[in-house]
Amino acid sequence: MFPYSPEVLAASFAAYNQAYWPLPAATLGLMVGVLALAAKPQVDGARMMGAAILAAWAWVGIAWHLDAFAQINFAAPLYGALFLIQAALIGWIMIGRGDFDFEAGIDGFRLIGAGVALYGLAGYPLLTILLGGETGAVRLAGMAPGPTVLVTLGLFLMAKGRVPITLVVIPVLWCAVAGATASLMLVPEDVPLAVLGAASAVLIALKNRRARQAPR
Amino acid sequence: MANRLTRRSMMTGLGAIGAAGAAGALSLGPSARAQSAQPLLRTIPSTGVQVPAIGMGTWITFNVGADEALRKERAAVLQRFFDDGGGMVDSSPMYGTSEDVIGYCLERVSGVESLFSASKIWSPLQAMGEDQLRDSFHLWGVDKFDLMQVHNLMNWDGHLETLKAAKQEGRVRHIGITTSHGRRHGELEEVMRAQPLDFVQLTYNIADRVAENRLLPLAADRGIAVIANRPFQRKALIRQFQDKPLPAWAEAEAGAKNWPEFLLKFILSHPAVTCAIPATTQVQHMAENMAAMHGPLPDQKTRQRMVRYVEGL
Repeated sequence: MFPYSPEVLAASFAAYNQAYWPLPAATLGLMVGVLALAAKPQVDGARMMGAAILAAWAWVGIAWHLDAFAQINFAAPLYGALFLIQAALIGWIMIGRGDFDFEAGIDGFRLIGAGVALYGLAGYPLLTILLGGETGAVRLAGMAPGPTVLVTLGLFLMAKGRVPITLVVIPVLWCAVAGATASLMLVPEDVPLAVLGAASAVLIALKNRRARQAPR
Repeated sequence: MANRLTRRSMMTGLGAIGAAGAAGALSLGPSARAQSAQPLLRTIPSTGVQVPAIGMGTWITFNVGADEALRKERAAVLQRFFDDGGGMVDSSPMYGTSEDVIGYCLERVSGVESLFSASKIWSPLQAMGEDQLRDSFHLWGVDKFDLMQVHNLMNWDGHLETLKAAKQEGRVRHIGITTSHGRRHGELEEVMRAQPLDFVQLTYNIADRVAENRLLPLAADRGIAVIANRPFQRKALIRQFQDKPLPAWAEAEAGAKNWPEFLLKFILSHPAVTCAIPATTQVQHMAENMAAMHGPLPDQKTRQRMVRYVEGL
């Protein structure tokens, strides 16, 4: 069904990380900074976060999907287009319109969101290593699609109030596609994507409902 | 055979060693043929060119990107293929880096004189067919393809025009059309009836014998060579049977010492089948596959017994 094997996918990630090194370390640092900003919000922090994850989505769309992944998967250009559309939506809604905000404090959504984002930042690469994968082939937020999507969904859960549904569609769709692909191809590190994506979608729907019902 | 190569001189050699074997292979004799040291060759009806009966598919297996270690492993697989008398290598632009990796391997292995180069056009747009053809020549490093096919019937009428022109210009030796997974057999049958095809590629194996009903007899009637893809249903048939015993009569009656041989000889013993194209990443598996070109093939009665046996497992 898929034109590549898990072994080749891992080799492609290894070559991709190596080709752009030290960018993977820089993008991971940027994503850690985004999560820190979400945890301790600053003035104009939401726009800065938006700029960072816009850059991550655009980079993954261009450098991974349209270039590296397209070498081994004929469907990759379609994925690249979706990632670029998501980058544009982030730019429009989080930066242009600015109707996205974060506030300090702890609630269930923020805790779970932080957990999802942390899994994207640290759990994803650790799982690859624990499963016997090469350290050089780990998928890092800001470089690879899976962890970038999870950091994004985590941020949405941590945001204040309603999350525009247009921002959620592509990340959740990606989780479903990548999760299904992972289970068919036996790529265990991608399997949690499907679960976390579905859980995030449900939680964002609940969060939005609660925001609508909150007294103005 | 593609002209990286001395295709003509190679064919002369193959013709000399293989004519008798090929003629024998095309008939289902009442008893198994004697063991032969020469690989089994089959004749392409439209041109009389002979091709070894086991080829090599490259779906997934040769799509290894730029990874040098994996490319070298694939070169070893291809080397074994040629060492054991292989000829047809089948690929497609759809298979990611497979065509590029084939070109890499062809520069590093010996025995490429026997290459029978087969690729495809795979695009919804007729205008892209010529570009893909050009890319394939470049990636493989050949100046002539032995076979160029329309992949999965995609825009077949447009691409067949491109291929007919390429054949007339001498850039392509044979043309064909493919399908897989048993899809769109009705449409394939219409194309086979209406178009001057040299080859058709379809799925045929011991568990998927739908092609026996209409397509294989039609191919025989029309003089169209048949490539059987998915001979192991990717790995599914091997996985399904590898822990099961071969029947006691497998070697004596079907000439099969292991499951890959059993499955491949079932395919090759159909009189309409020209070539089967298993894919592998393992040198050892390649050797097992290529062994199916030697020794007896099952006769009609044994073929039915083989089907009954696997259906009872």
